[in-house]
Amino acid sequence: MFEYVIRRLVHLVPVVLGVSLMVFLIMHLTPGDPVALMFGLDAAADPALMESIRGELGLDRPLHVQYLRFLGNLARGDLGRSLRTRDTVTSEIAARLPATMELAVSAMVVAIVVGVLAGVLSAAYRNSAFDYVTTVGALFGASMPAFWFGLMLMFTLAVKYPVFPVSGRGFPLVSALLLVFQGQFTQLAKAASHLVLPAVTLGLPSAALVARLTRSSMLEVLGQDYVRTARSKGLAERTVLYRHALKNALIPVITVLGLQFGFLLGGAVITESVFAWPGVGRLVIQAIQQRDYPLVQGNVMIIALVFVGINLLVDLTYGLLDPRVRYR
Amino acid sequence: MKRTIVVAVCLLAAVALAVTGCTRTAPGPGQPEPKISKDIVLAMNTEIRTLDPHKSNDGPSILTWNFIYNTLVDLDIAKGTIVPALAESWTHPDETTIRFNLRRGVKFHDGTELKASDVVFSIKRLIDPATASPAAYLLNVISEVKADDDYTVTVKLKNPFSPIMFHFSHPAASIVPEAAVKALGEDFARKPVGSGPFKFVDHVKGDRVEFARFEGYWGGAPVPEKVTVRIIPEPSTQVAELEAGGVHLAFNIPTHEVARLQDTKGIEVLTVMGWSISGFTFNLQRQPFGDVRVRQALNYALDKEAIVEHVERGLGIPAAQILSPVVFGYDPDLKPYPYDVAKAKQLLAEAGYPNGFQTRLLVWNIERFVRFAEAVQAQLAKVGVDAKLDIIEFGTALDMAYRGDFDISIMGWGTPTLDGDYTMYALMHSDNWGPAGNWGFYRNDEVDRLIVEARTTTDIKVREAAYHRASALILQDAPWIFSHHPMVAYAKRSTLKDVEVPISYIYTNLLKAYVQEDK
Repeated sequence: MFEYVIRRLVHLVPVVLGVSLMVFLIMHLTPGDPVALMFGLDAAADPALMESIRGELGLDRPLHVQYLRFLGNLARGDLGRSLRTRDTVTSEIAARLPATMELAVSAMVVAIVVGVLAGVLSAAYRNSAFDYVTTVGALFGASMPAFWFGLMLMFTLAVKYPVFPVSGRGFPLVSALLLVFQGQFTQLAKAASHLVLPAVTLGLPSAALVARLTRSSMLEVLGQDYVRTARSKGLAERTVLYRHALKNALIPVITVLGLQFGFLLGGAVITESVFAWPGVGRLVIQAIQQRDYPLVQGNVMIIALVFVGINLLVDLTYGLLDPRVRYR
Repeated sequence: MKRTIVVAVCLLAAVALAVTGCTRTAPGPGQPEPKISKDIVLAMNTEIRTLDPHKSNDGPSILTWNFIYNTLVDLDIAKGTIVPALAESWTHPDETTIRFNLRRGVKFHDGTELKASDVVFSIKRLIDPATASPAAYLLNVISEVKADDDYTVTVKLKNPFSPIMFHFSHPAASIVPEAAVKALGEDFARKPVGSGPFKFVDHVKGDRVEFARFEGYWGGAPVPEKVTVRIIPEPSTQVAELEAGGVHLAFNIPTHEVARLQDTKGIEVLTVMGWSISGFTFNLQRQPFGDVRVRQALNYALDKEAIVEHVERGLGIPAAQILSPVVFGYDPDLKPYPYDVAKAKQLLAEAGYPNGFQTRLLVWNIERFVRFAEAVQAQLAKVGVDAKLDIIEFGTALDMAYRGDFDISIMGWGTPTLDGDYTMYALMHSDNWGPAGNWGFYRNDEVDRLIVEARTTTDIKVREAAYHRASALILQDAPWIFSHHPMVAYAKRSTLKDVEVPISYIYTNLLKAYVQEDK
């Protein structure tokens, strides 16, 4: 298994190279000039000044020279500097990625807890009122635009009945958790209260998907022979459901969860905008609009790495759930 | 025991006096004591790019530079005149020389004194090509700058340039401390030091920037103890924060929210005339727009009142010139083209297009511009001009406009220096064909001459007359479809007092602001 992990990690190299080349080409082939956008409107874009800035930022060199230089810097762990903020790409991403991870993980928790629970229960009580309500709810959850749902949550639970804060990230969750060990709970409360609405907004569509998948997967497993055997042994229904059936029913769900996490990372941008959440989603959008080449490249590569890493974890999880799975 | 009670009563009275002493209006009988807060939260929709004033030229950053730094001179926005700031006075020994006498005893936030050497350093830094500042054009006309002594700076210009004082007032020409910049290098943008009313405290990227009162401010310490600028991209979220009380002042209020907010208890909407013009520029090198009759016809065809009413919800005025009413050089007597469909059709017929023609409008994919373009499209259809909309992402559209790859392009342009030269020279002078601003290749030798006259003479009367004459000629030549000057709306909680937002949010003045909560 160790060998397997190493081999998968080595596979990352072509992935990184491929992603970097693709992003580099797409960004440079897209019309639009980062220096022109630096001026934007309301500013006389003096052509001589533009040329001089382009030279300073190395944008006047041939494309292949720029790409090779980018790769050379990458090998030394240097992703360059943002054209827009002039700060290093690594520090720009380091400032934003934790917020996005925090939101995506919280949304994932919502998706798993709500989704798996609803799925198992509606499979167990098939064709009951609960089952119908869940099915309709899942349809609603999957088809609801995050933009509208987020604003509705905000207007009801933050403005009309101020239970939660309207927007913003109160405090970094991980730092807040560390403070708990020092006996400070206020920051954790702050972090958690800011997190609830965006996490629910982002997580609910995934929860709906997970619920539907868990339900059908459970129904399939519940029809298997070993479940009948377990029941005929006289095991409690709860043990049959959670000990025997669920474990096997979860394998397809885990696969989808891995892919969903990637979706949550990339798809968080709308939720981030609605709740003024300072994550990478908004950073990437702005960077693309401003043709901030180094920042876009750095961001896409980091997100690609996270995505590949999550998929590796998913593959390793199969072995935990199903001992028959072997890694070669 | 008795004595304790007396002392307690005296203390209470003292506290009560102290509290009421702070408030502007003493509470009436039976009213609860108002609570004063000096912690102010602002909201804007775009992240700042950098806290280093010489590395960018974007509105959100400029707002924060105005808190941290000072410029040599300031703009009195109400009067449109230049007033002293770090320079107490200045003289013009000849047409190309300016001598600044600096204010003494000005302290930077790190406690060092601001000297002439800092001014020389800052000006050189802004225009140094290695700094790569997109605002370098502000002071590019300077050929030499030197410190005569600790409190005198002499600036030499390459040629006479009358708007120079307006350019010195631009926040991108802020004065930074030489020692701190040299010591911090690139890190200066993370730990900025200036001489302005507020000290930098923290910048959580994408989330907020925090400032604290600078007690040693040369203009007197400001009232607010803490100022937080929050980045809230969605206007609807800004509105929700305002209603919930998480934000005291929000800048990016969409026009369609104005009416609802005006009716919301506890929120005040304020509208001010902006510094910009909205319209379309013709590509004069593409037919039929080389023909002045066609250009005039399209100006007659536009119902500007209706555009202001329906696109801007009444927040704006019809335009006859590219300078907004708040900009030096604006001619209040110039009248816009009247809405006259018959006249438009007649001109089109004279130009050889009795049945109109087909054309394309280049439009940025920004919602308010798209709405504007759709309204214009519908109006042009009434005179037989069939305009297809090319709604294109801003960066790409800018690229096309720079290359002259358009028939008619949307235009929104502001004059942040508030001096007419900024806009007239960039957009209407034939030196600036292409990317520099004159996208549509307009040229009128007399207009060129007047614009140069206005930027090289120091006589204000002559300058103003030159702009008025040039604007009249431009209106006649109609290189644009002049539409309107939009107004700007912002909203604040009624509890926020003594704040000024003149013309643009970047000039938000919080020096005397405070929050008076009712409970």
